[in-house]
Amino acid sequence: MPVAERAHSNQFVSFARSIAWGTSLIALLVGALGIANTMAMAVFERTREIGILRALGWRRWRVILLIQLESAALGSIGGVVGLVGGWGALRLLASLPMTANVADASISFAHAEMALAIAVLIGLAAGALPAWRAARLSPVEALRHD
Amino acid sequence: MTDQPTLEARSLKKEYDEGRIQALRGVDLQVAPGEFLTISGPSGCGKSTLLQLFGGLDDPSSGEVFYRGSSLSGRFDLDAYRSRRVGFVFQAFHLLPALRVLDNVWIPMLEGPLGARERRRKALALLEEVGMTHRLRQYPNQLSAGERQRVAIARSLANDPEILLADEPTGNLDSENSAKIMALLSGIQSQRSMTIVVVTHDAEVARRGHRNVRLLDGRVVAA
Repeated sequence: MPVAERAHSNQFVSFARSIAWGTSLIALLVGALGIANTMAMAVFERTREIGILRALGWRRWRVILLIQLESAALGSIGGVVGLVGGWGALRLLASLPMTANVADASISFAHAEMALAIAVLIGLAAGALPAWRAARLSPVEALRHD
Repeated sequence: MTDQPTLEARSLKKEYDEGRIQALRGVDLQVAPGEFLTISGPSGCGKSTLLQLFGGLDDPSSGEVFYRGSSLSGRFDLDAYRSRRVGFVFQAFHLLPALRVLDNVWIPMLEGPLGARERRRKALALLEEVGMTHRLRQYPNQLSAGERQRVAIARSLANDPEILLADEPTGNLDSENSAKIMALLSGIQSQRSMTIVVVTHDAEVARRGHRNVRLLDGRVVAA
């Protein structure tokens, strides 16, 4: 392959990689906002329950732990669904004649592990603020919540 | 009985809405160990507010609440106080809707020293004490109001508190169930020698205690 053509091809690959990373980051951000919104709503809807737990003597850290466990579970479920969906999409692309040369249907264990870890971390980060807010509520305020 | 009261309110005031609402206007009250005290008065007289302050659910605007001579203000561990020393019974029951009866009763025990098996055993014993063992697997919305209050009473005893604070425990019950719940509370008080404070607007319920205190406009008017 002539040098100019190879250089152009490399530039194209770099550009395609950048686009892929950018798309992934946007997907990650949207996912994180989705989890944050879900957790904020879940905590808001359960304000009275949190008040009951605080009235029964649950310490702030236990309320935070409860919410963070839910956030982590939500993140990991999202991660698993994303992995299965991504793997399915890759298999589809690998089976199509137009994209068979560029798509590889296999996902390495390390990549899957990293994706799941990121999903759980995003879940925890997204749940941190609602958890902190819930734990700071006075029991009597929370019990009055409709 | 010892001289030191279990609970004491000294010049207790509670204001809301930047002082526009004065729920308590300087209440002084002592509750002796093992006493069954009822606090009565019309709606809005401040009786529930007083109970919340006794239970460490809220902070007073001024004045202090003492538990066995220790002020609940400042560095007092209110979480431990609510978990180990006080049991609450509410008018609206406040059971956790997503949990079954048995789970509702052991949930406060997570703050205690018991393991899972002991928690379950103790919750079963408490539910037996209030006559609810036939409903262990039900959810709160599958129970009658009287049954919910029985479960709430069992839950309030989860960590063997020495004080039971009940805010209008018969407020959502018919007269037959009210009588049963008050009989249950009286039985618990005599068996366990607990200090019980019941807030009520019902004169019949108010007569069930050893002593009745009447509140009006945030002040004690008869003790």
